[in-house]
Amino acid sequence: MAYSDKVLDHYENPRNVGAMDSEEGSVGTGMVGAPACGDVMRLQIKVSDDGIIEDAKFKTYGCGSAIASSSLVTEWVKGKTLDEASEIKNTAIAEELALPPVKIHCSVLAEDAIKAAVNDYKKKQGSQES
Amino acid sequence: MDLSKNFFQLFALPISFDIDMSKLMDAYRSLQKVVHPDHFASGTDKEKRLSIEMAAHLNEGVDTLKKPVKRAIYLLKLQGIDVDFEKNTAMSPMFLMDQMELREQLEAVAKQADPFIAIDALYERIAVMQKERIEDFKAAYNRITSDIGSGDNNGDGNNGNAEDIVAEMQFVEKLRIDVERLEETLD
Repeated sequence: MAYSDKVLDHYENPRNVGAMDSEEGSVGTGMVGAPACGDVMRLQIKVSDDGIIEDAKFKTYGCGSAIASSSLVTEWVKGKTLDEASEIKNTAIAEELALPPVKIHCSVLAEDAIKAAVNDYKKKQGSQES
Repeated sequence: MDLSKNFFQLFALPISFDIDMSKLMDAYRSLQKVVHPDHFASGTDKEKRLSIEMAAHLNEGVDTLKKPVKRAIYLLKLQGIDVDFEKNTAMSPMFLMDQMELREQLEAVAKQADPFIAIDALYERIAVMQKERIEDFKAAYNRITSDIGSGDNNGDGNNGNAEDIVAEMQFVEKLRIDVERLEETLD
């Protein structure tokens, strides 16, 4: 199966690989996994006081499509509000990367990772306020 | 041979996660002899087709029961629970963190002075994780079957739990396969 040029580009030059301090209040961490292929994905967002995602980092162990999907969403979420980021759909990721049907679950994983990171951040904020 | 029997019945085994592997293989071999397509080389087209179907059914059966993850999924299926790995991405964060760490270790194996020691350490941890999950699965499976027995199978109980454990079993198995693959490239 051939990867699309965009997948290869993200796979060979992944954007925003790395880790943030998950203990920090402004950081939301999303960890998701795909049992079918054993992929594991960590997506982290750094959120400004006015609720804008300033920075994003990821670390993914998995196939090229999973790495490309997470790399792409780190680019997409930057500058977005939490609500805007949560609205990113896996279909948009799959379309942008021209993922074949058997790799759609990689884009689902990336979508779930964003939601998990946003939820983690919100949970932290909630517990700080109370 | 009855194609409507479940795989446990087919090999005359009790429906359980723990199976007697030598009984399974004995039953498989004796059934295989009976249905082997070679015996029907001079038979009718219908007989040939049936023997191929049965041989395929046997192979699928033995493959399903031999492998712990497949056996667990099949046991749940017999209880009316379909495990769908594609939908289940919200796994335990602790488990995923361990997996991430193990993947990092695996990535670093080739850089170690003695990569085989690092490989062995990974195998050991994987074996422990597999064992823990098998015990957890058996307990969860027992809860499901006893719930059904007492007529309390309304689907909101512990079923999700068993599915989550199977997902983790599958995850650990994939990791083990990747460790094996790496090991093969080392020597």
